[in-house]
Amino acid sequence: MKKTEQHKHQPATHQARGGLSRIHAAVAGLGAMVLQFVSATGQISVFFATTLGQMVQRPFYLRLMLRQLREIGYNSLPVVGLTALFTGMVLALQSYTGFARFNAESAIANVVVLSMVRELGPVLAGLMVAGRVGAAMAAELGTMRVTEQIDALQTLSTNPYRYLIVPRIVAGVLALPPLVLVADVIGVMGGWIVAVYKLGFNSGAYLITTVNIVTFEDVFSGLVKAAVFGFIITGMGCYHGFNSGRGAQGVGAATTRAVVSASILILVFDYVLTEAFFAK
Amino acid sequence: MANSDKGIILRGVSKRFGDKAVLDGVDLDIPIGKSTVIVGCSGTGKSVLIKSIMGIFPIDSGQIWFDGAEITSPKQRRSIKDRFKFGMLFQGAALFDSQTVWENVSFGLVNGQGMKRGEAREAAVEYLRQVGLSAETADLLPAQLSGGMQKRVGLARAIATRPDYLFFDEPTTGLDPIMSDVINDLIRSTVTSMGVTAVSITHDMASVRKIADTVAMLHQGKIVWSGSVKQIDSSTNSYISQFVNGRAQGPINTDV
Repeated sequence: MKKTEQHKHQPATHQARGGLSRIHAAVAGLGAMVLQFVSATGQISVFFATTLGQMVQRPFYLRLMLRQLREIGYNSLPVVGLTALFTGMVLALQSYTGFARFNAESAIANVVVLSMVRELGPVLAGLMVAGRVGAAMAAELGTMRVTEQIDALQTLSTNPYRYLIVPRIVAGVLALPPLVLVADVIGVMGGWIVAVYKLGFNSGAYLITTVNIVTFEDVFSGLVKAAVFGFIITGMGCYHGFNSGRGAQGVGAATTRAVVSASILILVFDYVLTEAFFAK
Repeated sequence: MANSDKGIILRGVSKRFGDKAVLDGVDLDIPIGKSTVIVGCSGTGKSVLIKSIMGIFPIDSGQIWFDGAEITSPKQRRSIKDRFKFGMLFQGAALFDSQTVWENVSFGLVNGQGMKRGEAREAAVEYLRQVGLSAETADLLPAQLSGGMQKRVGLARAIATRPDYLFFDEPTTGLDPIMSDVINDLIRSTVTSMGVTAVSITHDMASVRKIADTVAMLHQGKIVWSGSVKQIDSSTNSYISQFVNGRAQGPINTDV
């Protein structure tokens, strides 16, 4: 009889233990995630603090910065220009089909220019540059780490932060605003092409509406976003490449992390900056 | 605490990576003006040791002196930056692949000493000649060179700043026996002619016999034997004896 009771109680005890161990595992997993987050945040903070500290110290590698400006700005023009052109064209077409339902077709020029200048220009240019430049930076620095080229810099009395990171980040911050300005203009022209040649709008009236509606604040907010996105893209590319793991897998993982983290941060900071500029 | 002895002195140097103690209280004396070779099996921490001496890896505990000046902490190391010059030949040469051969060789002269590029190119060609490479190689990219040539360029870059201390990380790894001998001869002649203090790490016994004045053996994070190169064959120390003779049996665990 006693034995039977014991057997009866055993499954309940096992269930309780199983439940406790599951809770224990969940809490341990959560704790590990928190620790990992805190550790990564600390590492990124130290990385950027060191970089900022090195920015104000001689020597300044102007030649390297100009090379990065060409790579980030000039060489990104085709991909950013094409993206902006088709975005402006699609925007005009979509706005027309939507606004035609309540006879508001005349607002197309306003929608295209404000969307491009405030939002789509900086965000799309940022995402395209993150894919093109952020990935390349992470791969280049990751390979330099794996092949001991960064160690070699130290043995040659050269600070790797000052030589590798500072020129890239400064170039990123300086290159993105003009790139976005070009994207804005191309995007608006994309909208104008569709409006005039497909939808039959008057060319002069479209352009006058565009110029009249856009304000300095609209353009300025987009350029500030561009500079911040430039910092994010180059910062993430450099951070993940500089701290790349070993081998081809380590470099590949660093490249992926650089693009993903930069893309997410661009979207997060886009909201934060929009809130700061336009929230009443 | 100060130490008046010349050369490099390590006391109780330890370095961990996560749970693994790679260096576990290393005590080592590297005499000035001599060529010291640190031997040991693969994965025993030889590269970590040399990079810890160079300051590339900060150590967890212990002390390091260069010619009586303590350089354990980064701050102490910065304070002697202008007093000593270092050069290093890396295992894979570690040439900057976006720069030409002459730009690699003169990198320390241009970026560290502010030499003009025209002057630096001439100096680079001269250093290339010293390591047996012609002026035609100066404008090539590292990817256009063979492994042996890359090592020579790496050596030219290491000596271009006229260092007081030269470090060689597995200088003959990946090279055929003839090219290995050429590199060993170059290292020996460079060390002798420049009068520098050299520290090399290798597991190639032919290199040891050619370039070493003194030898130290690293095993499980500790120096288990040190002595003159002439003593390595006659030593009764079971570790160095097993290593020199390449035996599977002995105190060094060869399980994989």
